[in-house]
Amino acid sequence: MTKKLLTLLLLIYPCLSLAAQDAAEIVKRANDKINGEKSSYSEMKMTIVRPDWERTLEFKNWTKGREYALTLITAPARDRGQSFLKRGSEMWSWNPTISRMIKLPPSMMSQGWMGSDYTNDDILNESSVVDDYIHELAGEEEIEGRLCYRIKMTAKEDAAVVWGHQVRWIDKDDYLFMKAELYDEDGYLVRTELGKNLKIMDGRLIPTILEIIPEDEEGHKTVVEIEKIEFNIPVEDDFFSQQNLKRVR
Amino acid sequence: MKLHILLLILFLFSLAAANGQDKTVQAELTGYINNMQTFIFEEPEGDWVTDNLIHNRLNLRLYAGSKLSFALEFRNRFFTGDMVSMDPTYAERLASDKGLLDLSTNIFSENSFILNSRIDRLWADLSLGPVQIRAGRQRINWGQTLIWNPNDIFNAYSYFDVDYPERPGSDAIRMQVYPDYSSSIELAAAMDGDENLTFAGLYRFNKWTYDIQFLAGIAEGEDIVFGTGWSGAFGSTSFRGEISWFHPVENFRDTTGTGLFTVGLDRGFSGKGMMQMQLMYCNKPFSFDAFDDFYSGNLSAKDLAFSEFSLFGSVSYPVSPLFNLSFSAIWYPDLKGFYAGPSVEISLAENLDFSFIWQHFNAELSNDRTRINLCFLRMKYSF
Repeated sequence: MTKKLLTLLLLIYPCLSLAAQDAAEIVKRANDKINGEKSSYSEMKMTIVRPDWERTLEFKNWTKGREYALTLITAPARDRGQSFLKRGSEMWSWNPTISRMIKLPPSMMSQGWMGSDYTNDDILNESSVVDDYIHELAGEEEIEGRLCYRIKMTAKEDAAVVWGHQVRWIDKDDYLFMKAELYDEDGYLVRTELGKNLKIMDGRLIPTILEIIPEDEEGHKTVVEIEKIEFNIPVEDDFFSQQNLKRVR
Repeated sequence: MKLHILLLILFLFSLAAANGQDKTVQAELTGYINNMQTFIFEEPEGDWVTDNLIHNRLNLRLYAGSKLSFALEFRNRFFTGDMVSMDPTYAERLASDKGLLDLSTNIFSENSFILNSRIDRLWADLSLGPVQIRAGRQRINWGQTLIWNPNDIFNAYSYFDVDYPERPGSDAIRMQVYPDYSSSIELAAAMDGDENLTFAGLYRFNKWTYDIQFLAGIAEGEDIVFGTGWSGAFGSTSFRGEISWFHPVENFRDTTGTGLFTVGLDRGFSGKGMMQMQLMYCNKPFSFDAFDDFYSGNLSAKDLAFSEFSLFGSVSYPVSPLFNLSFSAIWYPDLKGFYAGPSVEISLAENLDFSFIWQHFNAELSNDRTRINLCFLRMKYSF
């Protein structure tokens, strides 16, 4: 009896771990497409859409690994020139109008801009979808006419993440994030993300529009549009400095 | 002397502009135009003093390659209303510039209106690797806390001046050296119109996830100053502080110094606003008897406190992303009084903002109970 159980476990276990590995591998491959490179430079436009108004924020973004990020706001006029530096878990902002650098508290990391559904944590290169979650393959589905893996991701207990669990749809051919559902710690759906407008940028196919749709709010969404992206730009760690926070253009 | 400095800066500007053919020279013009209506009254049913201000700010930047840059920023303000016609010193005060360079002019000054133009940034900046040198009128901001900044010895500002987010500049030479990504060593010297020299050095570094700074120097030609400041966090709450000690140079042994000690906490709630608190202690608070001192443009860092203890608190809450409501208050126990101010900010369009700011002061000045309300209505277009 015990032997049988053991055999069964031995039979099942490799399958389970294989599936888990596959799911993790799929997420990793998809993530590598956009975040996994050594460094990147991008120009993005974020539009907040509400039933009766819209506001747009434009910014330039330099990243290196997950540790370093520098963001410069280029529009609207009121906020232009403000910049943000992230190094590890520390973050600073620079306000050129008053020549003031402010060290931001960790709570600012999750503050959205103008009620955007996108948070600083998202802009400044977020927690890791690869390392901070346990992945599980949960079928296949077609999204926007492309066949996708459906993967359930549960946050690891010690991970400092905003989401309790996520479901992500990843394109089977090109490993692109086509859709994600993000759930809070109590298991309620908080927002849905959709990847759209696939284009080749810097030699690779990526969704250039990301739509973030909060749950239970009719007519609300945030649209992030990648206007330009370059991967593996030559950039030293020194670039992500307080000196450059004040100088970057 | 003053003229020479001005000519030198203009020369550097034209030099950079002459290189206009060069692709590396880039110019940038930004600014805003706003219209602000002010109402001042003791009681709503009593007399009102009303003023209107049309205010245009222009910020011009010139980048010549990656090492040299120049700035010229000025504000043109057109004043009309009761203060202009009733206060005989108003025009004169607007035209006066406390800096080494006199860069404020009343282009028109009549009974019922004044047009004033004031340059508050005019600098040339050279960056060579980790070294940055900036000369001219500039803002040297050494503050760490968010409300009162005793470390801000070059140009302290009045918290109550709602229509001057840029804050004044000082005429200075400043060198900054960045030994690594999160530390800097600074030396700066500034002179005001009375040729009082402020000269100081600052060392800032990052340790135990705190930004920490130490400074020492001479403030306004009369005090030796030592200071320290920090910014960090307990969990999700920021913890910031500044301490400065001013001691007169003259009669060093026979005099006592002025110390300011302030600590503040602030915290943001994801999408649900901000809370701030700050406490300041000063052993020798600035004694003022005229209400105007609240607003006087070039306050010194030494004169920030009006009461031995001052306590500030504020909350701000976005009712909607376009509609922000905030309330702040300061308690001044020695003045047996307080300041309280609600404000509303509304984003009307992409670059158009409306603000309503109400400031209420209630304090005992020269044994008289003084109540003053100031209301500001402002429409601002940024470009």
